Amino acid sequence: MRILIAGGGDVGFLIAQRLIREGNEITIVEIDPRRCEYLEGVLDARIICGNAASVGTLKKAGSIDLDILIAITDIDEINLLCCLIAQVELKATYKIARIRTHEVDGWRQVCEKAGVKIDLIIHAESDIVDRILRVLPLPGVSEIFDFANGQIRLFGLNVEDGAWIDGKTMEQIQAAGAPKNSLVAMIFRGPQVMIPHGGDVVKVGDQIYVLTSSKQWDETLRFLGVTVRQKVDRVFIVGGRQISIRLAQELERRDKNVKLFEQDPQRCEKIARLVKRTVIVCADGTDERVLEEENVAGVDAFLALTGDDEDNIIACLLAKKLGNAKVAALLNRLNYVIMAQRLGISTTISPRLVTVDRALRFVRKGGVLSVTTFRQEEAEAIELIAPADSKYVGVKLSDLRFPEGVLVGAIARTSGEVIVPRGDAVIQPGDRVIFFALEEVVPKLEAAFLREGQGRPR
Amino acid sequence: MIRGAVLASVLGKLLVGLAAAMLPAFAVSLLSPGDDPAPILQSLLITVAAGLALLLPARPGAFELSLREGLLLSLLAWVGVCVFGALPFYFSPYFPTFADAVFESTSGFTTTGATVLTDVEVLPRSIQLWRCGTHWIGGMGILLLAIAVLPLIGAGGIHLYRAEFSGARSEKLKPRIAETASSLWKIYLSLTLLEYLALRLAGMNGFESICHTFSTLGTGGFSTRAASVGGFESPVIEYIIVVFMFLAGLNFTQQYRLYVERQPGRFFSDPEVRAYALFVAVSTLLVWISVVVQSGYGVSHGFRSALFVVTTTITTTGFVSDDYEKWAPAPQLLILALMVCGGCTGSTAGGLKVARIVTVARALARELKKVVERRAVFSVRYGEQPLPEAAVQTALSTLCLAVFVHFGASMVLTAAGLDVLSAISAVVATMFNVGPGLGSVGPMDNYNHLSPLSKWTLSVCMLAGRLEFYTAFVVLTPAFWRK
Repeated sequence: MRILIAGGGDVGFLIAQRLIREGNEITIVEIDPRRCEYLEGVLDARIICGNAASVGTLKKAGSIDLDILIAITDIDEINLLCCLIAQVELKATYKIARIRTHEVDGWRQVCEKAGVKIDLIIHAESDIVDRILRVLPLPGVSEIFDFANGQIRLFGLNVEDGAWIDGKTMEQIQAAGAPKNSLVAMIFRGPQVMIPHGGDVVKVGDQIYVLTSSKQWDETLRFLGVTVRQKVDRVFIVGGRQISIRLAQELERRDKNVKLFEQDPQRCEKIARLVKRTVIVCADGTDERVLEEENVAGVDAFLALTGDDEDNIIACLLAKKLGNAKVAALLNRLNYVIMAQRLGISTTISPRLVTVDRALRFVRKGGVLSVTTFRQEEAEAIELIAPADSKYVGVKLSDLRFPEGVLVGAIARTSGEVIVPRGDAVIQPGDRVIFFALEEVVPKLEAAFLREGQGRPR
Repeated sequence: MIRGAVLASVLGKLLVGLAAAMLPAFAVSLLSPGDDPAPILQSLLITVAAGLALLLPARPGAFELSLREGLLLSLLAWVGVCVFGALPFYFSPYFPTFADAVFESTSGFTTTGATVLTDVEVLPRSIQLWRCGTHWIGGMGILLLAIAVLPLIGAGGIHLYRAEFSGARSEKLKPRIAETASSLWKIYLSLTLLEYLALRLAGMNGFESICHTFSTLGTGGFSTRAASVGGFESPVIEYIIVVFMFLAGLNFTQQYRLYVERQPGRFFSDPEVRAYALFVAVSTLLVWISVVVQSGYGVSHGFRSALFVVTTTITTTGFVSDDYEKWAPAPQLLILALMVCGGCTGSTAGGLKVARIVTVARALARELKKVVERRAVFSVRYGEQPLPEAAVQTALSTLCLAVFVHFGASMVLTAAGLDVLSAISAVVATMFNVGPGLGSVGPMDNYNHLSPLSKWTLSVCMLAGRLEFYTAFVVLTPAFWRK
């Protein structure tokens, strides 16, 4: 496919890198000449230096028939203009835009009325709010993803000091009475990622991803030693940006007591008008004294969501030191994610990865229902519907030769049955299959399941 | 960071590819009567063995080339190809020393066309084909070919592409580098086929048509005849070759825009294309006037000679149709200047490249303006676009580097006893990949009489010129090897 990406920042880079590896032709429009030079050296793509909202530049970039436009510059206006130009001048088949304003619904309607067809609007903030709310009561759990309409769940868990699974092999964990339909699907250790086999060992400091059917959710958590907080009442939010406000509003709706720390008095005034019961504290949320005075010790959840990654990490570390809260840090720079996890900050939220996931899911063809990206670019969970004519369908898993680094995580049958398959299981046509794959084998895997010409789910 | 396994694997593949390129010459040696297949077969086996020896133990896995690896690999690839490509010459009885064989091979791959042979017509057909074939392979670039056909070189290929293909700084033709490379090679192949057909129609025999086509499109200059193209005594052949030399000296990216994308506006408004055409036209006119007025040529013969010499020189091909050393001094000096100028960036021609000359001229004009208007700010324009300051710097420093290299190499040649005119023109003619120079290395002479040291020096000059100096010399700087 011919894909034009407007904006060559981190998100644009990650999307391009994936899509190039999957055999697409990528052109990137980026405004910063130095960034362009960097991209030229590392991506096998055509890089055009210029403003993505310029008609001339876009025409130059998309002179040949364009399949997809992905507008993900930092600026909403440019992204919208980009879609407009692509529709009128480039005849792009599909258009994706990232929008950051909270008026995203308003824009959706405006575009519709004006006849500008934007096939996907990515609003990372709302996805992030959902992700955070789900993990608040679960200490140690970094994130939860749903597959197969919620029948299957995947969660990330930090293996902390004293966890009983420390030092155990996969086989030992199984033998200890693991719930039937559950599975350790991936282990992240420092910069490494593994798809574990029977003899692989879990260690302290690992982040493991566990797959389970939703029915056995509580059982699985109990088995792994995760104690669910019965009540999450007091929540601290550091930073008064849009996402904090949205989160505060959501938490208010659930009758939580929220304190929001923001240093800028004017900003505080503004936030105070947007929230009802939330207490706005006009102070530095990364200051130990401030946190102590505001009684951080009794807090259930501590969310550091400022625009500054370092501040977020420091704030979380302080909160962990001063209390027993579930901490979560918003990190923009992806290379901080691993470090933060090593420092014991189990939940990190990256708006960039969320955006990448959404864009990739759209671009991938055919029966791919969802794509979840872990860390920068190392592994993926892919959910897809097995077509009847795939060579992997109708054969026992133990007889199949999958590429190295692929694991069939779970199968959801059309009958509603969910299984975590063993070697004797067979994928049947129409099954929803959840794969775990190291990034380099994703194209191979997809090629085995998908063909050109399959319709994109609309 | 430089990974040996990565370099070995790519180099090994290149050598195996080089050995495969010897197969047609081997076939010719078997088919033509009186030809000896042994030299080509020996070379082929040695090259394959060396290639496999590098290739098999190396397990680089998936990789992306870094900038340093790209630069080092470009240089190593060229040196390797020139040395292994010299083997068929070395094993044949016509090249007494290894220095001679390497000179001839380097001259071939860098599309210089300078020869150490006193009589090319005694060569068997297999060696003739290999000689001209090296021009064709080296013309569009061995690395560009590797990028097009070796799937393993991904994003890092851009470093190879830039190191070898002048003018690659400009935008890529296609989003994917491999496709860019193969698009360029497709144009090259089409032109090859066209010229072959044209030469056949003009009455040249099949074998010589192939050889001359290879030499023309690579802008090399090796011929199967001692008197070069002049040996055919056919104005039609000369005009055909002029046309294809001119095309080979044109930017291939721009030609792609013209033939494939059908954007003639973009092609004809390209400042380099225009300047190139202008240089050819004006120089031809001047030489024409000179040969008619000063040397007593007829009007049409004078035009043909002038056009041929100007085209063969500016495209740095180095075919000979006429002995320009018998002309007045002014056209001879103009010929030397055209050698320095060279063809377009992104073509198979050598020289400093028209775009650089234009850039340097514009930059100088700006400096002069600055003297008068001290507070004004000027940008250097190239066509409609303002040129980034870095491009001006690169053009100027390439020019300076060429001057220094030229002076150093000329010193070596004069120290070995060559006269000043011959030494200066020999270095210009090899460094800018032209072929024949002036004096004792003129169009009717050859490089056989030079000392081995001079031959090695000129081989280095040819390589440095082909890689446009930077790639060749950056590897020698301490900064390159610093951890």
